[in-house]
Amino acid sequence: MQVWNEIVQSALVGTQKLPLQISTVNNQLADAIRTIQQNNSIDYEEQCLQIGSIVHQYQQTGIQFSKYENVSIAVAEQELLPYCNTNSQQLLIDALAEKSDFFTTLWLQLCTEKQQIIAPQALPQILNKTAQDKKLQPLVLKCMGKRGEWLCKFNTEWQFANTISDEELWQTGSLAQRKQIIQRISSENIELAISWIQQTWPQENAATKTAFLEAIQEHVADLSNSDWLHHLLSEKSVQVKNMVVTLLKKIPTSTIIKQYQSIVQESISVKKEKTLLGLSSKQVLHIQLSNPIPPEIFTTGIQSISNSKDISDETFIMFQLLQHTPPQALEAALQLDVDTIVQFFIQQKNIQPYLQALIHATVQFKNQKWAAAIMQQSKALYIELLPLLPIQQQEKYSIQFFKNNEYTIIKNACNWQQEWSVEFTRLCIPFYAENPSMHSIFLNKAIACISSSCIHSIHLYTPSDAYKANLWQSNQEALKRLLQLKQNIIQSFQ
Amino acid sequence: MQFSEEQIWALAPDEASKKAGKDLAYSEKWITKGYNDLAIWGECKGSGSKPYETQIHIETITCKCSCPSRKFPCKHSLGLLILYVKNKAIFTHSTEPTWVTDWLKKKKEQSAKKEESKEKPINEISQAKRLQAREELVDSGIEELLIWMKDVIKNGIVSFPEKGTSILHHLAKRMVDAKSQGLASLLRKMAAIDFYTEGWENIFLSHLFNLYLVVSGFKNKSNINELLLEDIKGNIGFIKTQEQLKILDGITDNWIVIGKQTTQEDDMMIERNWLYGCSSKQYALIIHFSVRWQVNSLLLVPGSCIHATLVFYPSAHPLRAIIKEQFAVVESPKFKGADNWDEVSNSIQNCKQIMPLMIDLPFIIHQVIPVFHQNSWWLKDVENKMVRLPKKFSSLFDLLAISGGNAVDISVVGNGLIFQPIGVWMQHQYIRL
Repeated sequence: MQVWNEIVQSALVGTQKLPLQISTVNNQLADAIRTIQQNNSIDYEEQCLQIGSIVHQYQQTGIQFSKYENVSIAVAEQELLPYCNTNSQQLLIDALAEKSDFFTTLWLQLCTEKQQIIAPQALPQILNKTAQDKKLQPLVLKCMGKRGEWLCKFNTEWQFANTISDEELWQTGSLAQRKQIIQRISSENIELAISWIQQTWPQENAATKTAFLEAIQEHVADLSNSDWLHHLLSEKSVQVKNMVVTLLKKIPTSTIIKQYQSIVQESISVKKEKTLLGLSSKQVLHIQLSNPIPPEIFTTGIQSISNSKDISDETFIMFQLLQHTPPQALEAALQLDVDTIVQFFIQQKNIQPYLQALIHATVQFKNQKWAAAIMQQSKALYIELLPLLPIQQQEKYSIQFFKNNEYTIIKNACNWQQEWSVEFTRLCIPFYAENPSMHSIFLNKAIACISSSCIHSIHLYTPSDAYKANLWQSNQEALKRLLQLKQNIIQSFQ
Repeated sequence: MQFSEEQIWALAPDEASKKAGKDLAYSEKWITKGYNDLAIWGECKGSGSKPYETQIHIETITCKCSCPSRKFPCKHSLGLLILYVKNKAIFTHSTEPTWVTDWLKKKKEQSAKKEESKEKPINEISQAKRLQAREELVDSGIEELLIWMKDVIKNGIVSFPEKGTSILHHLAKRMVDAKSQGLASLLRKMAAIDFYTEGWENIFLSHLFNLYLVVSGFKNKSNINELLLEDIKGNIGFIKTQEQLKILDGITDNWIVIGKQTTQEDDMMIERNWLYGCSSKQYALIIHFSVRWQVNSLLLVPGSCIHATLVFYPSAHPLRAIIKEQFAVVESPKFKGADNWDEVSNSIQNCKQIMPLMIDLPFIIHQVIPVFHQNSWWLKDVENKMVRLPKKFSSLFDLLAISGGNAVDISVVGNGLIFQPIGVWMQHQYIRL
């Protein structure tokens, strides 16, 4: 409406600078404006206010909504799967309100298993959460149905639903995205991950090269051919070269490891020693660093000088070499079985310090057989070995060594992909009751492993200390609430 | 009582209460649980030796709990309500215990006392004196406001975004001093305009001219019809008391709560409940003011339907109302709103012809589709007429998710320029936006 625009223009700069000029208006409005302008009992500003009010009113009274024939929106496709029930839907909202992602993940897993989908009204909340927490994306993609796919098109932050192929993302994505892809591919096929890195290697800068090598380090031990990595030792960047050495030290077939292995095999032997005034003899493991030591090993990260006056340089070098030697190499060198070799390291006092190197090597080369043998014979807990063992064995040792190792054992047990046994839970809950600082670990991580059936026995534990007992009251309520939520989620899908 | 969980959660004063309420919505938390036609009650295990006694009056959804919480409804009331909605079967149908009977009796006595106090004679002379004194104060405030408005028109509004809104807040305080709370509220609304949004000048001038209509209307009160004058007086701050209103005749109907908007002004919580009468086809606005955490005696659940008598404030276009009497919460019957935007537009035109002041009007409109056009979201009706949604409409994706590109029935509130969706129906189930 032109007259309204004229009023706005004049009001913006002020009628003092731009007096109100009304050009064309219809007769009805013109009459009213003329009457106001002829009213000398009010000043000019009030006349303007009256004209403005009447024009505004006129405009409002005649409001008409615009008609657009060709504006439409694509309709979401018909769903192929049923929506979850109302109870499950409400529980998803509850799960999203929790700090721990466990409940949302559990809900999504069950929804996928039961071949159901998220109700439309809950979609915006879960999609917002997924935009921030990328780990949930694969599950949400399975549960969001056609409505979710349709909805995601309208929000740039939810574009994860429009799946971009790995190849496309590898070529066009950010460094973080590319690193993530390489990390994922390397877990499935390390050779393929290497071939992708090779494609663009010459064009990448040192930081990116290092980042890609870092992304494959967890699975690099599975690499059957490490020629390309050896070739990278001639890279100009020290940063890249150091990373290559780190990777090669993880590959049992790499030249570096073979060299270490060869020195270790020459330096270790089983000898007979006389005991009891020479009346009998026993076998002992003899470790003596063979000479001469090839100088090139010191260019691969092996330190030549001991950092402790109580440890000789030779022992220190041997310790480092043993750390990077696949344990199975000892079996070949000594022609003995694992249990016998482990027995030497545990029982023979003079070589006991090397046990820690052996544990390091067992972890580095993920040797389950050696981990089991060490744990079976050891009278101490080596927590780093537990993740190499089946859950059942991990639990057995966790129970055996629980006392004095509670914190590390619970922390490790939180990574088990299954619920704890009643026996193990009965050890953990009293420790939690006595140690309020465990609250966060229990509520955010351990909750996944505690069976909902424990809900009725939690109150049985009461710390003797009054202050702790008071804290336990509120902590156990929080734990019970989460266990109840977990149980409700599970039951809602049954 | 037939509510959904979502509707009960809409009563929660904050997120913390919701979370705490959820924790209590389990059977084992309650030592006793019962209900009858009058109330729902339960005893909840607390940290003390005695359990908390929680009770809910079914007719009015008013809650009472023996816990020390200052929040209302408290977590126990929310938990009990949710448990009842989720699993009514675990509640025992019986005669209420003494503590519930006492409360119900007290409630009855209180309302009888209120009735009695209404019957007390009013000293009309002193009342008239008070009114005259107030009108004199209002007149002085209006003169001050008029001078400022003229000044604004003379010097221009272009520098408003830079100068800020302190002048508007200052004037609002002056109007409070002049016993013109309504004018102060209009000025605060002007101060709340986003001066960095395109077209702010149009919005500002709309408010300015509306303010002028109010003050000039009051100045010329002798020439204005009685009902419109009530609207003008209402905009200035002359509000009728509930007692004055309750003696008037009301409309008895099944009223659907089509939306609830909650805002906060300083420590004051303002709750706007939008209702629609299924038979009378009359819209109503019930405003409830409460100081933060103060007991809110009015609990209207969005999407629910109450059988009640509403009395409307005298107005050329009656909208604001109070509940004179509430009989029961009933199942929502079928209702008929506007079929297209033209019907909405006609209603606005009819309203403007008799009541020119700026007013937010609620509408139920059937079968509209959210569509994207010219970088904005719109609501398109069956006739292809479209209305633009506010740019900062926070529930856009909730609306889209429910619609899926299909037509939906929605409730909106707007003044003709902008419409804010406040609720949507998905397969007859109401969802608050």
